[in-house]
Amino acid sequence: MPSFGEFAQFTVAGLIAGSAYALVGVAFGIILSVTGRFHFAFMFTYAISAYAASQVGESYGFPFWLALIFGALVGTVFGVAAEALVYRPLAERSGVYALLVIFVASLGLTIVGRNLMSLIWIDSASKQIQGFSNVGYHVAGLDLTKLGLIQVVVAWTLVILLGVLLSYTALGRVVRAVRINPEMSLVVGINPKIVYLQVFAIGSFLGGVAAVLNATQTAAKPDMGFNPLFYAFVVAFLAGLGSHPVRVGLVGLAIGLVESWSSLFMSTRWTSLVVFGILFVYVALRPVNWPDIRRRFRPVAA
Amino acid sequence: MEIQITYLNSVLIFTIFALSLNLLLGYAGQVSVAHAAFGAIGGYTVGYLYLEHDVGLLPGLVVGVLLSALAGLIVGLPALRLSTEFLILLTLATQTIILTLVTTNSSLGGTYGLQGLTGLSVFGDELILPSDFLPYLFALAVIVYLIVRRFGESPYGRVLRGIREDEVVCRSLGKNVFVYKLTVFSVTAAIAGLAGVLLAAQTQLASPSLFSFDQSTAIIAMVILGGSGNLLGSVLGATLLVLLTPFFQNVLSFAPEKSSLWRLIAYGAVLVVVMLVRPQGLLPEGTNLGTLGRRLIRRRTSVADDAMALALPGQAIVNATTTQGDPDGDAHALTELAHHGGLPATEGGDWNKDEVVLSVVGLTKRFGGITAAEDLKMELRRGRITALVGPNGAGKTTVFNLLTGAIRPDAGQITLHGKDITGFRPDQVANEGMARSFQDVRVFPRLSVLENVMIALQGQVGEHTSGLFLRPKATAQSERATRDRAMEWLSFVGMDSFAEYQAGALAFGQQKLVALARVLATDAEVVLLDEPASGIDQQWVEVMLGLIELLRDQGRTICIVEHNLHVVGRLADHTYFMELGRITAQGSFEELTNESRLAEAYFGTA
Amino acid sequence: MSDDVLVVKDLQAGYGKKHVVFDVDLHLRPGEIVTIIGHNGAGKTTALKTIFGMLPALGGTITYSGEDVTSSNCRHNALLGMSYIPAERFVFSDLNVLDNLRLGATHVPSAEERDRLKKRVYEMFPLLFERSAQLAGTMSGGQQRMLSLGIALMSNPTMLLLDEPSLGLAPALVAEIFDNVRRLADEEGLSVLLVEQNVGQALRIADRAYVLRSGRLILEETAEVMRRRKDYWDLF
Repeated sequence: MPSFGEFAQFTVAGLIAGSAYALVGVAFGIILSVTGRFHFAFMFTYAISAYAASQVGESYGFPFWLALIFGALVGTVFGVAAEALVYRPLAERSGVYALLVIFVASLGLTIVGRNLMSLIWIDSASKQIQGFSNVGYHVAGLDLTKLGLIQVVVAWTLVILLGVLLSYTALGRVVRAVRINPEMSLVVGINPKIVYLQVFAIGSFLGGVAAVLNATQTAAKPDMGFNPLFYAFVVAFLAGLGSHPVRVGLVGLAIGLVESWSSLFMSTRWTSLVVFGILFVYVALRPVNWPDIRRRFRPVAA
Repeated sequence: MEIQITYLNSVLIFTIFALSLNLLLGYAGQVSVAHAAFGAIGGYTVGYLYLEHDVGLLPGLVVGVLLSALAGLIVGLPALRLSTEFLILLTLATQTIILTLVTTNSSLGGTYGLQGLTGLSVFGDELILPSDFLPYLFALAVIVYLIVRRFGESPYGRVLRGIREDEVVCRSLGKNVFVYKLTVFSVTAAIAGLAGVLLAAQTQLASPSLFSFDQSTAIIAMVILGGSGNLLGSVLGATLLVLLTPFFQNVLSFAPEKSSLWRLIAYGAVLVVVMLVRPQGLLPEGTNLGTLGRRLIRRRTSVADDAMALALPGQAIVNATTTQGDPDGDAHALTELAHHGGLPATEGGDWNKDEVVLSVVGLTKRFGGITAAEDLKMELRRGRITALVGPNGAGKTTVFNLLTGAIRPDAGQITLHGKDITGFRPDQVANEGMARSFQDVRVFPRLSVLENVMIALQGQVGEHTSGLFLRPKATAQSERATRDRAMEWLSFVGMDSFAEYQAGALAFGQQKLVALARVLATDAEVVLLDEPASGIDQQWVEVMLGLIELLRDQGRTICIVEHNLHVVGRLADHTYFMELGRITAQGSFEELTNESRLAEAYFGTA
Repeated sequence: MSDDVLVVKDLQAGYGKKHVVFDVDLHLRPGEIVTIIGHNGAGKTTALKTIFGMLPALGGTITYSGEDVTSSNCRHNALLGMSYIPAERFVFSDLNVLDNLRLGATHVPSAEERDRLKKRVYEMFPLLFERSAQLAGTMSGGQQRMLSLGIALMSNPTMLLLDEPSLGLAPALVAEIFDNVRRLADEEGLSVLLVEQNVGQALRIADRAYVLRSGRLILEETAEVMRRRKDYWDLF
């Protein structure tokens, strides 16, 4: 039986990890819920953000925060490019087969990207993010770090900002319109193509920020996007596509806590199994609501 | 020489992987990113049993394949009702779970896997050098090719492809889609398990990296590149992609580490480029050197062919209707075709005296707060056309869905030929003798016109694994008979000259005729036609109406939902008027149109 | 007629592989309400969507205020002054009334203009003002229909393309919606092309009627003449 102190410590760890899951869940979720694209290559835009941040700190001495923003912007460029150059042309010519075709292409992009990264940085197994010195605190019997706090604050700030953007700005209104009723958004004169690009930009940027923070904690590795992508799936689907960002974020937090608490009782190697097991069970048992699913996944007439 | 043979062995093993994934993905349309994980089950089983328990290769192989089949079944069960996106998620979770299980299990060697699988032997023959493996691998590859081809290029495979195109329609034609899906998941997982065994044996280790997500992706790339739905294509795809390794290493002289990265980049690039440039792959479905003449599916795109594509099949219908009284030739064939036991209905006569074929009592269905159908009572009589009319939202489509088992009623009873079929699944309803057409037609686009009709015929020996593998002669015979019958139905609707066309390439009116032939080919006594006259121009409507009247005169029991009242007036022997889920009137069309209350309900009041 | 707001000649229309509208000619004069009636599946909605630019025309010409808009898309047509209200899913259900209205004004460049239009909508439909913070999806069918008219008005249109406004509405509410449409035509000078199944209500407010069957125009009459018919079975 874990002691209260242990339990509290693991809770803190769960909150930190959960905040990261919240951010990727929201990032991936907004792309999927608005565009319907099965954007597997999120894995790649995530990782390349971390690599770019690391490289730019190493080669040009960018300070931490500037490197972080730069990295996230690099990921954004790749995400927008994927939509403009690959997904949209495929959607336009594939009709009913679009979902599968886009998934396969996205898979291909991911593989190419990931291994190109390995090739370019072949001499370094992993890369560090420069310019950040972590500090430890001991508060109320708990061990905290500056990085951990930053991760939580940044993640939740971005999640809340996205919620505000969606609810209170003109851009947010248009994005929600396209998600809720693609036909009506065409009718009122919205250009869904542009909205898709904007959404890919937002999602890729948020994912990139999460990646750089993750890499600051450990390191940037070519495969670093694998787990976050899957966690993003779990979070986005469990919360329900189209949910408010804060709600998605809370689900992410819950996943982080569940994972952390389960590592009190089992080896950490098994905890990821718990999360994937949840995904498997969820997909296998969820009630089928065909019209709703079809509606959410049908992309706007391009 | 041994190095070259190693590559050849790899080609053979990945051919086995690719062939099985093609059957699942290319033929049955089930997307799986877990294929290498099923291989892991096979490979690790053999490795574990050999290293820990001294079990020989052959028994280990059998256990491994069986366990993989079981895993395929476990994944297949939830997969039955999943759409593509969720199937991707499910198989993604499967791949990760299986790999995590083997990586974290210390008795399975952790991240390094089970090493030192040396000294394996088969029938006393020790397998040391690659060339020792070669004959066995080759034999197995050929056997797998023959098995997969038997599944895929056969009546069974036709059903798989139908499931890929449109599961719901497949079910409505009498196919038990669940059994097909479960079988295909299980069988392909078992074959993947076999390939995993062979891979582990050949590489002399069973490690996570051999069966990783990257590996699953590589196999997908082989299938996609070679051609989805084309088995020779999978052989080609596997060969090309496996040989990329020696290509990068020897031809381009890359260092081994770089070359393996470039190989993976190539796999990814293949996926993207093929999707953008040639999604059907190098060898599209249906192109097969050996059967070029028989299975060729033509895509018509030239102007001259468009003219033919829009041509009305007028002459065939004219012949059919005018020679009806002729005792020889076409007429005989046609009456044979349409004969359903019992006598054709008498001209005119009292509707109430005709035999009741389908009877519905108290049928009710509610969706949340909305009553889609309320206490419906109706009858379909032999040799009569019954029409369902009513304003928007009256519940007419719901009636068809309830009758065919697509939705379960909350209350009520449906009786067909005196048998209670309430609650039957759609495929069971079709087997009992009631079939429907769809308002949006829904032909199987990538199947040929002929295949569209052939798939509908009941009682085909080759549609079941037992018949397919144990009774080859009966299967061949049944297939010939099926083809002949299907051609007869196509002649009936006048589309026989389009038999080899891909159904998706046809004009809408032509597709409607093919869909009619398809539903008739089920030999269902009761045919429900959903808006047979919609979406087509006058001439086509005439053709359709002529065919439907011909069917009625030949004794078929027909029910139509139609909004074009002109058509209803012409065709209907009896009409039910529906409003808000209830039948509020019935009788002849003239009787109904004389009632002002119905006019108000239909057209609204000022 | 040269002062026609809309002239459609020889229209061929369809979607996917289906050609469902054949050789349709129609025209609309300023301030007129013209209704297109016919059986379900006759091609009425397809014709409307093609005129608005949501579907590409397969043949023929569409002229709006003298300009050829045959190959225009709906964004362009909205800018020219066309407004379309679909038969189903005609509001953004998870957004509130105010956001719905704001979206209707997507093309309106200035904030003042948007404000003016919003006030006009609120004047005409006080209920929308009362419920401006309410989620559209929680309103009743009739209220949502009213909102759909409001959304259309926010783009300051000159022509309204209305698809089956009576769909799913209780009979009592149908009259109210149609009265509002007539008001819009009379007070704002809007030209209205109205597709309807509910012949009775449509003819109550229309000036002229076209009848479509299986994609072809089978009749054009003034509403007055059509109202005198005993019933419409032979037209459907």
